Amino acid sequence: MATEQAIQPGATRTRGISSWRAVRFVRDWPVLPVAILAVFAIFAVFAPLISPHDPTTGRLPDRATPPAWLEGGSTKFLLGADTQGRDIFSRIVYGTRVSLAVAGIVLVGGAVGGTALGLISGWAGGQVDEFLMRVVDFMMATPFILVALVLVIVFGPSVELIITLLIVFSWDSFGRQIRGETLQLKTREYVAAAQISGASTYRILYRHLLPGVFNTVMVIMSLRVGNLIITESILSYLGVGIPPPTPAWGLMVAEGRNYLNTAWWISFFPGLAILFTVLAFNFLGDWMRDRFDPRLRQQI
Amino acid sequence: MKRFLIRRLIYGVVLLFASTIFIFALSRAGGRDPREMFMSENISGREAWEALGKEMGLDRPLAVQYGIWLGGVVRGDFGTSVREQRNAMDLVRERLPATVQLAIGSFMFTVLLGIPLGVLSAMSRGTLWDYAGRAFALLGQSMPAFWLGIMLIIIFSVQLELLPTGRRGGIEHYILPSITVGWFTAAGLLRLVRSAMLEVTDSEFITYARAKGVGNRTLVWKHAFRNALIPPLTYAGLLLGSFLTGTVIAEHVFQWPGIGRLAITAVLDNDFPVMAATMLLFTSIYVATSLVVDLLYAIVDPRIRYS
Repeated sequence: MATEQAIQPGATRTRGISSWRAVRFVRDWPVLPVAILAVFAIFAVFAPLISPHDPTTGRLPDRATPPAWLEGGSTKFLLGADTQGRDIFSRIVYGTRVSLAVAGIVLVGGAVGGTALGLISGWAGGQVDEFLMRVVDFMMATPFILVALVLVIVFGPSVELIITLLIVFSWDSFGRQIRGETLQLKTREYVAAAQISGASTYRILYRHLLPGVFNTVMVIMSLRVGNLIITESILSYLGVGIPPPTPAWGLMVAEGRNYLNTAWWISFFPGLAILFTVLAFNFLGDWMRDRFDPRLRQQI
Repeated sequence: MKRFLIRRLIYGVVLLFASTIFIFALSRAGGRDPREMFMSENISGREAWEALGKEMGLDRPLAVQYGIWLGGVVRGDFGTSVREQRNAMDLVRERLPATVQLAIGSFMFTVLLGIPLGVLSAMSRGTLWDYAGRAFALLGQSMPAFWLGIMLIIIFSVQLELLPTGRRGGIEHYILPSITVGWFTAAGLLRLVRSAMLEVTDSEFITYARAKGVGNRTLVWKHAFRNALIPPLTYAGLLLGSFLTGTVIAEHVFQWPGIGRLAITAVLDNDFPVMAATMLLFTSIYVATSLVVDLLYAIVDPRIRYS
């Protein structure tokens, strides 16, 4: 008993140990961001069950109905209705699917491609490295939004095109960082040992170098995801994202642009959904970086 | 240093060259008649249409077509804007000042908020100031610029009727667009400065200076801050990319008559000459600025000697 008091004097003095623990839990773990993301994940999975209305059809008499708590609002439309009388809340719920699905696919595609690029570049060195790094420079210097606009107009809007573009243009951030780490790892003795014992290049990259950079990949992924959701929303805001009538958050903000004087809620709530999602992801990303790869703190 | 500079210049030129190939490929993608992106047949008539085909060398191999196009580009001749029926380069030149002014405004917002708040946040770690600074940063990095712009319009133009909703004009026209572009980059800068300051103040020379009795102000600004500037500069390139994207978006939201808006309308109108000119301009700005950043890097950190 005496030793326990010596170790945790604060814990015994505060009346409830459990409440103190709860405070520490909230401080040390990203509770709030996870809770927010859980809500959005539930929105995405159970969209048809949660949304009270059909997201793509509306009745014109209902157009621009204010949110429920404002004058003229009705409990029928919790967050109001847009210019076509569609329920904004239902559209946000369905829009979650678009944002999270696109972000998920692009993140995995970007991480796999970018990590491969970085590993190969760092391992091969010489001319291959030089060439790949110049390609990365090129991608960084190219105005992505404009390129995406042009390609969507040339080939017509499609989900596949948007996803491919986002994947290819997310390689640079992975590629550069992973290359740097590979350069350090490849001087290690265990890599030389693997080489001497006759391991193939593929085996060295996959079995010996990849596990070494895996933490960094995870951290970059968590730091990139917010940016990715924003980029996707910019494209759909400009009208070249996921084609309508699928509700996308960026497009919903754009639809309310001409009604800022009369119906601000049309633009406000979808943007708030983007803000909350990205905020939660960014918070989580910072937490992951500090926990798993504090060296990156200086860099990203 | 000189060798490094020459090498970087060559890289820059090669990058721009690659960019022209890419832009040219965009004009030939999709299996349409490329002339559609240079001229409207209905307006100019059949004869001009055929003449344009000859001029562009459409009956010759792609490499020759590219050569013809590049020959014009190098001389600053991107062709005639389909929409405005004027030289594309003239249009760009006309719109450039508006973008430069907006960029200066946003840059000032970024630096004047990002750096002091970053230092303040690091120096008063764990206090209310620190939390306020970090909240500012986290919020800025999580808001899409187009939505931020629209919200600023709703609050300051529609509700409070304090500031104009857009277009160019007096100083009050610059406030909202500059915040829209600058908040995201200010947030990034703040975070970089904050973590760099924290890192530097942990180092031994700061402890030594403090033990020597150096005053707090000198310590922060002369000893710590100078060294804390290096990491943010390294990542200035990343911030620059989002800065340019932000400019395009803000010009769109605030109907700002600059290059970004010109580029978007050109793409939507299928106006290739203007599109190519603006895209190449954006790439050039990026290349030139990263070169300047590299030079600054060597000036701020004398330990770096490029070879």
